[in-house]
Amino acid sequence: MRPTIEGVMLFGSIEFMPVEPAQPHATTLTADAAIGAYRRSASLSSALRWILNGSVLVLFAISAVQPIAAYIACALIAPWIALEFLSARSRRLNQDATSLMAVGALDAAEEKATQALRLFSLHRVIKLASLHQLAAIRHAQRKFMDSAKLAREVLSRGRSKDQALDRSTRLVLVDSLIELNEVDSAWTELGNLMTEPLSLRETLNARQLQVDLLGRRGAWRELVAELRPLVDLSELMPALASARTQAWLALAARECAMMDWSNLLRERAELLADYDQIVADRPLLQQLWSKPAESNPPSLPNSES
Amino acid sequence: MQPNQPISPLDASNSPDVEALFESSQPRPRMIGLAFPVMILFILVVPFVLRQTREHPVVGLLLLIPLGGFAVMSFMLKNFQRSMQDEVRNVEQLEELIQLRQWPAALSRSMSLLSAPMKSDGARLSTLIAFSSVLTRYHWFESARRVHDEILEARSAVDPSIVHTITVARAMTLLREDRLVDADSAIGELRRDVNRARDAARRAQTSAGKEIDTVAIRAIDSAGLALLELYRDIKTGHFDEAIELFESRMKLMRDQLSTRVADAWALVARAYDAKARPTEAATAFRRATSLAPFAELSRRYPELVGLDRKFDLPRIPN
Repeated sequence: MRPTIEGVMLFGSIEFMPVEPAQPHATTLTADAAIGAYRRSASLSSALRWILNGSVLVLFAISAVQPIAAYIACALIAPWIALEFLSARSRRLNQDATSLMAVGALDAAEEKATQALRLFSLHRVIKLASLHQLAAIRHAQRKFMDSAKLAREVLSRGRSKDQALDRSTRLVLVDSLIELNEVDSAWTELGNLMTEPLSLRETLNARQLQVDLLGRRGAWRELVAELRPLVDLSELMPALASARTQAWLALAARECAMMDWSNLLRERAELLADYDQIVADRPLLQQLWSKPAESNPPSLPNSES
Repeated sequence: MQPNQPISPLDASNSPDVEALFESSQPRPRMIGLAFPVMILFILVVPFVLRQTREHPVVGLLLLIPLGGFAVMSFMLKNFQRSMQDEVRNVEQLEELIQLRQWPAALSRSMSLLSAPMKSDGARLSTLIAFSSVLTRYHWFESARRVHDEILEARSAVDPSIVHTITVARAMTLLREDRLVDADSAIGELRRDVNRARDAARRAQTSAGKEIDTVAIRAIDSAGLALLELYRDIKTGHFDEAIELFESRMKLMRDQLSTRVADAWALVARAYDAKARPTEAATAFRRATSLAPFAELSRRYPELVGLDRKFDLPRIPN
């Protein structure tokens, strides 16, 4: 269940967040420690899979001449099933972390993701999902160095079976690199992402990041070339993302002497978020409100004459 | 800024038979759950058969049965996983159709999904939530409420924020049908939700040994509830209360509703207009219609009809 998408469908992007009571949780896992835990676990699970699969096959082959080998093979299935149950528990912890993140309970989500990472799993994709969860949590906590490092580790493992996980991780990486001002690296990663088939949600995230990057580069003509479709997409984004996207588009329109569009989009951005939120970490956007002919940085809209 | 989708005429008799869809979409008990025990049974049979083969080679042919069964079960499992993934994809596509306001396609897709047994309760719940928003869009409010009730019956399995959102949507349909007493009761329940969340936050801060942060506690609120109360005040003619509510909770609604904050601006424009404050009304109306098309807003709130004749719409550049 994804609270935000249902809220969007029913009623805009409602995000009523029930409060999570404070709970004691394990010491925060550093990015390096998390990567180390993942690598150890992945090696162990890979080795165990090979041993179990190989042993069962060999034993069944031997059982043609030595029937007792078949019984031994069957006996190996019991630990296999036990390990599958552990893996299933790890998968459930990842799902819990996702749900907790969706309602903003980051500490609790981190606890679950850390438990999932530490728990043994036979399947690499479950461990990658735990690592991805931690990357997303660090990103939400604005620890962008950590989130970028974790996301890179997930992607460095090669194409996983879960391509949605790869895309989601790449989005986290791109945004983290933007926040770290590594614009060129972010651009490269975004380019890799845009070649893949994306869902609507992924498209919204990717396009928002693309606008952010183009804005930081001052690529006004490129932004204006896709003005209408980008405006339409921005209407589907959460408030702050929509405001920032429209602010970038307003600035691009102004730089290309399209003042009607610039004024309209600037007003829409002001209706969706505070000036301080819009320009945070994006000083270029201050230009949109800096010209004497335009209004001063807006306060919360109220009745005005 | 998309043009409005044409919709079928408002006619309660056209509304889908939701009860039949509830029945047809119920997940069936899964035979696939037997796959693992049956596979294990087959595996256990193999050594026995192998042992007998030494004495009676023909018995070796019996190996084909467990091996064949193993293959069939593996195929069924694989097939089931694929059909689960297909179902998840179909539900995601339905949600996208709604986000993109492709209403006829969304109606068709949701009815198609609900016309056959679904693979999981989670997917069924997501489909019902999507379906309820489609029904509301077509003004089939009674049917939408029936779907809301069906979702809320399983509230223990549903995320609390979803329960809250569904309750808000349900109350909105009550207001649309002028069932003000029922709507008031629903609003009371939602208000209790908010108070419970605030109490939980207070307890959490107390148990953590922190001083109670009253500002943070008061910030726990629901934009959906605020919009509901705003609409109720408009419907009941309490325009002063509506204006006061809007001004005090504008930031909350803006932060949580994103572009749908246009609804709040449109409703307060109606309130300003009723209180003979044309300048504020014109500003609010312009702000509402710069975020959403007036046709869409007046469809959601019939009380807004006529405002476009009094106030100017913003000019959308070419």
